[in-house]
Amino acid sequence: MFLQTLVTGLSIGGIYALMAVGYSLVFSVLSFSNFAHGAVIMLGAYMGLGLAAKLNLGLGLVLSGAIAGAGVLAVLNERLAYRALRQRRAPSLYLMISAMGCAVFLENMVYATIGAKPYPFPDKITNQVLDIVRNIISFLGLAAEHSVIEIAGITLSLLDLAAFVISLLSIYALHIFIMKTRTGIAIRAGVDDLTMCSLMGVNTNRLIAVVFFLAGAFAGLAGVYLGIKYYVQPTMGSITNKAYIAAVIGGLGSLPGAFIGGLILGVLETFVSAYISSVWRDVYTFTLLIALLIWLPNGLLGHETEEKV
Amino acid sequence: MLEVKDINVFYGAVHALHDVSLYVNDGEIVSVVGANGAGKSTLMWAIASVVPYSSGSIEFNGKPMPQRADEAVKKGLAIVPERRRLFVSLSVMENIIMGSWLRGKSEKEQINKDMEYCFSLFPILRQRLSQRAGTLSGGEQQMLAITRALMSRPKLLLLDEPSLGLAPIIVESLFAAIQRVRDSGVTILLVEQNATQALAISDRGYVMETGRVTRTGSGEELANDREIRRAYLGE
Repeated sequence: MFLQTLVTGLSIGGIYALMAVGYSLVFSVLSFSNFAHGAVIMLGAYMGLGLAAKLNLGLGLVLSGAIAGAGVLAVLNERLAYRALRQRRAPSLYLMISAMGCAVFLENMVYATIGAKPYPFPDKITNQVLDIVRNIISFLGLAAEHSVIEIAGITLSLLDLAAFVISLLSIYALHIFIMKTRTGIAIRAGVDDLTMCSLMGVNTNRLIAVVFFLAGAFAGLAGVYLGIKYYVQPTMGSITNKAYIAAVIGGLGSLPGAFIGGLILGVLETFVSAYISSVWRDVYTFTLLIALLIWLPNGLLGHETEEKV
Repeated sequence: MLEVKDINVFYGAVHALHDVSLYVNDGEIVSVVGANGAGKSTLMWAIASVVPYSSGSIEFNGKPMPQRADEAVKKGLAIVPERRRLFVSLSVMENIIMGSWLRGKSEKEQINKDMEYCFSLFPILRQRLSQRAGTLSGGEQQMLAITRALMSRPKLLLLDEPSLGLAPIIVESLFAAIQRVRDSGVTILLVEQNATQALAISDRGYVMETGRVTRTGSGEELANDREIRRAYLGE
């Protein structure tokens, strides 16, 4: 049971990590918590759903469409709701309040236009995901049943497995992008000192747009996964509260921190549900958050938070 | 090259600069000296288009200075700000890459030459390329900040308190390097509290007090002025 719980916890944690990355990216550059991220995840899921159900597209196009669409949405979100505040040098608290407003706005727009009814992703898409995972598994010489695989007595859902591997790979790819490319160096320079970054000739508005696009792209990916695993509905963004906690545990602004924070949170939650009671799950989660903020206010891998000019 | 005319800067209700005017000719080293809080750094940030001014004008090579910092830099301005403000989590090499941000791939050869030139000014940097900038000593950080600024091939270099917090022997080599940079064709506007050394290498100087320019003259004149010596040089 222990191993089973651990593996389930890690797979849930992988999804938390995927969503936490978006919070961390934006926080690292602009020092505010972008609470509209959950709404972008939700809209990413709707975009994926629209492409799959209305246009009858396959998994590849559904994913690319949702990733690009959510990325563009996040850029627009910044352009329309945050940029004016930034340019007036508003305190980051105001940006956070604006973000909360955007979340409520977007959620209610969906209620008003599409409605509250939950929609499942078409089976075709789910089966495509399962097929790919089964093919990879059989390529590795293992055998999988319809939607689960059993290894050494541990049963694992293929969807969760796919989510975990995709989280790991995409976060790693993002890490490489940020560490190795010219744009990545500029993003890190902006994290250190945005004013000096512009004094190197970097168009910081464009740089921030890139950051929001990346955060939105991760939101699109997470949205499609959540839609496939559960349902697509206006309130689905609320799961990002957990992702936000994961980002705080790991240290807001740190990408490896977001990943580790996501895994820790996923594992902790699953263990509490399995060994104590699922009723107690969130009590433990939030206790962990409060305790961590007291002892390690910058999270596990975060830097000293310092007001930026 | 640079002409600042009657600019006024406000921080909220605080009137930080009062009708400040100054000019810098091609190839000069001009220094602005004055006590802490006189408005010297504000003047630098206003010239670099980081701090907005409410009235007056700033012209660079006969044209209005662009309103945005990244555009001003494209016109050939670079700044070494007070306390250096390096990208501390980036390596020395990455800071240099950021310095040459505006230069395309076609300039790669020239970029390498410029880097070699900077290493000839500050040989220690060559041994620190993969080290994080935040872990360098104060003197090395200042050298890197100047290198970062020079990598954009500026026409005008703004230097704000380069000697702050550094040992006298390092300050001396730094000022020698600043003179070499000028000799290579870069015009320099230098802000310093360390008035003696700044005026000694300057063609002209300005004295600032509480947000106003109160005196101006050649570096030598100001350095020998009895009143200034008493007020700023501790005599």
